[in-house]
Amino acid sequence: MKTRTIPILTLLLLLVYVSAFAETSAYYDSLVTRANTLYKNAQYDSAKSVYNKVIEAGYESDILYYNLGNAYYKTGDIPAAILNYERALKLNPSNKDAKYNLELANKYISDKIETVPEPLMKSLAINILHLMPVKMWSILSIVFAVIASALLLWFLLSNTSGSKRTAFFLAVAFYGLTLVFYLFAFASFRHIKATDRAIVFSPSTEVMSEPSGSATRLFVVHEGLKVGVVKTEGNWTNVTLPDGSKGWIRSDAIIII
Amino acid sequence: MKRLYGILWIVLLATTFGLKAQDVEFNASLSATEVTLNERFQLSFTLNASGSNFRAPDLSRHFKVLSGPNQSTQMSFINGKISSSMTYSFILMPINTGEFTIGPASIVVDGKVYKTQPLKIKVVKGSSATAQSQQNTRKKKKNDKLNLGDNLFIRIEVSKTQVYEGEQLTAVYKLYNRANLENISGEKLPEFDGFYTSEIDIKDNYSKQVIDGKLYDVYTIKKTVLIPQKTGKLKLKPLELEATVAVRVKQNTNSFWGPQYTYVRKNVKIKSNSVTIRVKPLPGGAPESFDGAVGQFTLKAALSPTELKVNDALNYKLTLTGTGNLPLINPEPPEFPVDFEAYDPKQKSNYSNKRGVIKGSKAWEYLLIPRHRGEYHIPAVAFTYFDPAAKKYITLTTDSFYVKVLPGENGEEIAPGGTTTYKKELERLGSDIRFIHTGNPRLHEKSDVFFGTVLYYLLLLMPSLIAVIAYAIISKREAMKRDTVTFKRTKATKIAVKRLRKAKKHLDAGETAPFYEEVFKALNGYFSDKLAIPVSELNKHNISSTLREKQVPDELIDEFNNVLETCEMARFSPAGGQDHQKVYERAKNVIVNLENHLK
Repeated sequence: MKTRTIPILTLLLLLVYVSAFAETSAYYDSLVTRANTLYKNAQYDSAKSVYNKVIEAGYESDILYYNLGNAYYKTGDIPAAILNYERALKLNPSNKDAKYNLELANKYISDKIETVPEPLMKSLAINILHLMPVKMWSILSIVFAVIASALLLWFLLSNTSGSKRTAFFLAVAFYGLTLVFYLFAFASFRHIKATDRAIVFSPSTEVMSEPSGSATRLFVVHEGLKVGVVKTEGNWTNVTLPDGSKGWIRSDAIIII
Repeated sequence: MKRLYGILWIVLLATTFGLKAQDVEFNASLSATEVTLNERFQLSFTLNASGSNFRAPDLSRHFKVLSGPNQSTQMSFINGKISSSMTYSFILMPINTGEFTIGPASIVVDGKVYKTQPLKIKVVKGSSATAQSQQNTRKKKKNDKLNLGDNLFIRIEVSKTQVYEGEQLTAVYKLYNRANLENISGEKLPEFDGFYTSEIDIKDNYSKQVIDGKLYDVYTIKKTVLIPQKTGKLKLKPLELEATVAVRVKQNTNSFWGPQYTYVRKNVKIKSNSVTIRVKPLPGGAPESFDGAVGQFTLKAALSPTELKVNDALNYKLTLTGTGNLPLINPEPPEFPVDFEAYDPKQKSNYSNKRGVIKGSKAWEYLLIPRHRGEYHIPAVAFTYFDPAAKKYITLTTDSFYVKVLPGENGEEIAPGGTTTYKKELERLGSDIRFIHTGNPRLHEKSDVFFGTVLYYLLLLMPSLIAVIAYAIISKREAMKRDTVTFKRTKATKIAVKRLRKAKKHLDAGETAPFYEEVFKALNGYFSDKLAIPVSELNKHNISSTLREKQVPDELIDEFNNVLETCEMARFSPAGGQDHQKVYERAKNVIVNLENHLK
């Protein structure tokens, strides 16, 4: 009888941990509420500074970034709005409002670069990956690991061949799902921690063929453009433009999402 | 050529004919009286008045007419009188050898027909057979030259004979004359191979100069600024002209007035000296911005305005001032920001070669239109020239500029090619972003994503570990239990035998109650141990079914139950007169038989 209680205990521990997640400093929550009020009163600049205070304190959430993006949008700072919408979407890709507002903000930027459509399989994978934030994938993987462990125990303890077989297949299936969720969590985690995207902040800057000011100028890009970051070399960053072309840009001209 | 004729017009022929101006004279002359086959010669008919209706003799029988009749007219104004002369000339080449007579030509002057005297010409084969005569001819020509040598010559004068590639120099062609020059003609002026040339307009082409005590009339034929484009020895080809000179000859007629002189026109070729210019290559180690400029320059860049709105125009002007190969210089403009629309420059040249050197300025004006707001930098222009005087490269750097481009009138900038409809669409959408989320902001610490933490991996892997450990514990315990069962089973018979022996003792002692109790315990204990069924759970039914499962014969099962029953009954009603010995034997037999079946 005692053996059954172990997985249950584990689950309980997990729940306690998860609930601890939700608990953040109430002070910063109140700051966000205050900023929201400022926003409602069209005091966008003050709202911006309060939102930024919360971020500086080390807190974040897709909602926070989304609201801050809106405040930037309202004050006409389109590149900063785009950056914050992108950050919101990075944390929560299913934030539809952020997606909508980002699309709108992108209409203001000067560079209309034809984007290379992503392969169907890749976009499908990204969609699935973005169904849940990384934390949820992590929790799911743990829950399934617990279930799979119980099934494993059942398999190990059952005497009759019939129940042993059932337990075996179920355990394998659940371990498989655990692995899948782990991989999703991993990929999602990589996505969130990635520093491979950036927004151009300089109103107009040149993309060079080499990390040097005297190199051949390949393109000129303008504020608000989203670029991929390949690597950094001194004061220069190797970036990929939405149309797939590559070049070097001054690192101070961009901000990592 | 025009210039040459111009000179000829200006050349005032001396009135050394010694003839009355009124006298009409119509003469024929040959450049040579003895020619070889295929040798060109000139036939001229000169009239010292103006005439008309010129008729040339038939030349085509013996000669090939290469050119002619070429007519030239000269006007002279001497001592208040105007005189004019006309020349009809042919360039001929003999077809046959032999002695020929060139018939008279005729011309009408004031209604009167004048004829020239016939001329004789000897045509010889141009081989060794005629070497003698050729030599004579050459000698004669040489004599002509010698006679004229000091009196008529052309000279090329250059300002420098040693220059660097691209360094300018001046070449002047001058005709020195103190002979009776009537006419000069010539082919084209030689070309200047390997030079960029810039001809200088000659304003004052006539002067007088004394050389070795002799006074010469000096005519400047050509004046050119030369800029060598190649290195090495570049030769200025000699200029060759044909001059008609009146030469005074003594006639054999003894007249009353003493020897009489006549003048014979002679065609003389005059050839200038040739000049070799040594063009040195520019020294190595030229900076990258060097593009062939040689001389002394200054370069200025100007930009206005430095602050403007999107789509307004600004001017960028480069001005190069100095002396040198200005016409050949086109400095690279700076790299304008890509967001600037740059138009082709307007070029303004303001230089001249009047003083023999090319000097002045050249300016390039660029019109730029910024298409996007921002701070832009227009880099400096580096321009390198070679200073031949200092013999080194000098690099000039212009100012660089910062331009601040402010948003356009409407606060919005239109991308090049952007349309107004697009802009309108933007405005309509502009007020359309969705409202902020006012609910729980669900803040969490940036570093807190749970995944990848030790706790996460612990929670992920622990359950499996716990399951395995739990299994290990459970299976160990089971194994221990199984061990006690086996132990009991193996010991079952022994215990039963022990108990039966104890019962026998009680029997011998005549204690019936303990005897039956021991027999009962022996049977029950044996069964319980053997089949791992707790004693408490034993009953008749239970025993029968278990034994039947083990395929024990029914008689034996009945016997076992009977003995048990008997014992039980005897335990609680000791009065029963039973054969104790027999019960003992039966119990013993049952255990032995069961032992055989339950192996």
